[in-house]
Amino acid sequence: MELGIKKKAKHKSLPTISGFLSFLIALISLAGLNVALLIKEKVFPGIFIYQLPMLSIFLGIIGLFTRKRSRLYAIWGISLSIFLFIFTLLMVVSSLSINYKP
Amino acid sequence: MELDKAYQENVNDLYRYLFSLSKDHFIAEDLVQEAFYRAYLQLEDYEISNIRAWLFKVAYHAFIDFQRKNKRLIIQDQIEERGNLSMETPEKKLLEKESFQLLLNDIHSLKEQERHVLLLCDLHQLKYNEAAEILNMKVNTLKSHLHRGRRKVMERVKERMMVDE
Amino acid sequence: MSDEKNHVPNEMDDYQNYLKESMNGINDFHPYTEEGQKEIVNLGKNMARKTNIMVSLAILLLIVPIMTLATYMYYGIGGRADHLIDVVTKTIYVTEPNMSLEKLKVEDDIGLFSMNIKFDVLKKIGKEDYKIGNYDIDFLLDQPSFPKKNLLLDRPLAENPTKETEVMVHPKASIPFSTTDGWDILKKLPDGTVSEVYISLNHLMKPDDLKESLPKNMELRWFAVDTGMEITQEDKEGVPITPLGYPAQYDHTTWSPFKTNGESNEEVFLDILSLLEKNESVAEKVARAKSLSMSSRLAYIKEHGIKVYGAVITGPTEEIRKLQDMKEIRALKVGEVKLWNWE
Repeated sequence: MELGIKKKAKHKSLPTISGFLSFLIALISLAGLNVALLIKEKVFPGIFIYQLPMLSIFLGIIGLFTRKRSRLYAIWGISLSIFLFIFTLLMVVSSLSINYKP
Repeated sequence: MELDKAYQENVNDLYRYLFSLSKDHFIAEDLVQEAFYRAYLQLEDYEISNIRAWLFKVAYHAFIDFQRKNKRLIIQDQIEERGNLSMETPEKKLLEKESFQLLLNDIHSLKEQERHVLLLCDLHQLKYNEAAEILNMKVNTLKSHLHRGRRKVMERVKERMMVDE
Repeated sequence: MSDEKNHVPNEMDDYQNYLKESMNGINDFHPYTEEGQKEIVNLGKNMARKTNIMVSLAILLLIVPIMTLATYMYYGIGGRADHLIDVVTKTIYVTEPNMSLEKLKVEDDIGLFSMNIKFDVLKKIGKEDYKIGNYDIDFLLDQPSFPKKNLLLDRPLAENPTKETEVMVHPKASIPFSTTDGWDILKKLPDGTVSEVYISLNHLMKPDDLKESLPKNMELRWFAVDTGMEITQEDKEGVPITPLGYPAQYDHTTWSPFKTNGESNEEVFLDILSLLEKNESVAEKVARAKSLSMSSRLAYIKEHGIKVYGAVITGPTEEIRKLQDMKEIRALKVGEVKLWNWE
């Protein structure tokens, strides 16, 4: 029985960071989308609605299989990215059904 | 800042509690961190009348959640623990710590609710109403759990003494 | 916990002793140093702060996309936006004499819970369609504001129509303008121009009869239809109304309701009226008249058939002058005049 404190080094920092990064990247994408919406940009910048969310989901999945505290971030990151995809899809669908011109 | 101070004073207490729950140094250390994280997540500057009891509550829930997520892990740990027990080498450990471990094993062999009641009330000296609040049970229920738990522990101690003799 | 000392030693006392013995020294055991305590508390605090900040940020950043999406879904589902555009454009065809638009070029812009549409309006004067201005209409959900119009006309129709400003009048109503002025203007206008004129008839006519009685070499653009309210020129509550009518010719513009497919313009006109009856609040915002009284006027037309009391005609000015000899024409008012484009 060891009650002594061992400094257990940074063995958990790497997985933790993947969830954190997932969340962070999703937040950046979301911020980009907000800017695009607020300046009424007609064509959404693909990096914010495709590349970055993909990366975020990838990192989030890594984060999911790691430690519990990272999991919260990973879940947020993945959820936000999925939201971005659904958002894009629904926007495309509804844009097409509004005043559609061939 | 006062909250920080109050939290700091309870770090060791919380560690001992979580250790007695998990019987594992690493898990306890992790859960202490988790408990403080949660404590801050839930409130940063509210006033709480009884910080110690409140922290115990947070720690208790942190442990329960941990247990739920890692069911298999815990069971394995316990098996390992018991394995260690059979190959006990008392000379390697201090007497107090050995007896503490025996006590812990006794308590951990109880039913879950009895175990939690005993850990809070006897090992960590929380008041009945505080413990009842943490475990979300009525004080009377808690008392009966406590009574039954204590008797069972004594039975085990007696059994052990008889074997020793 | 040891207040039971006086009793005969029993199980509980044994337990307390055992507990005391076992716990001896345990509570003095401090795995964390003062610094370690501070560190672990701060770590939790910073982590919590980071989580709080990020989660709040995420929620804040979700607001605009969710509201935008909700707006798009609102306008997209069931074709609500298309329906509104349809009502607006058709209102123009039946309430603005000789005015048309290109539906293909209607621009929409969707904001938060709002939509803006913009389109150009045209008038055919002589043989050519002139862009004579544009409409800009804001919708809050499905409620339009009054259109911001920008019309580049020499002689625009009154934006707040009254009996005095009417240019096409029912045979039984008094003419609010001088009947000679129109002809005088036509005489003063040089040959080699094309004009758009509003004519009022002496008696109600069937659209086809009017078409046939007109001299050649000019084009009928728009019929003003008798809807039972043109004598008083106001609805039941006394709010002034404007003529309802429809284009006289086949419209080649893509997606125009009068690019008819076998059916007559009259049928399309009635269809539009029943559409506007169901969407009267939108139509009344877009039309110049504050009241359309669509249901009673539609019922009147269905009962009495389509009879016209006025029309818009365009053609070379010298040809239009000949209309003075037509006994059916009671009065004439000149609209727009453009340079020669007839041949």
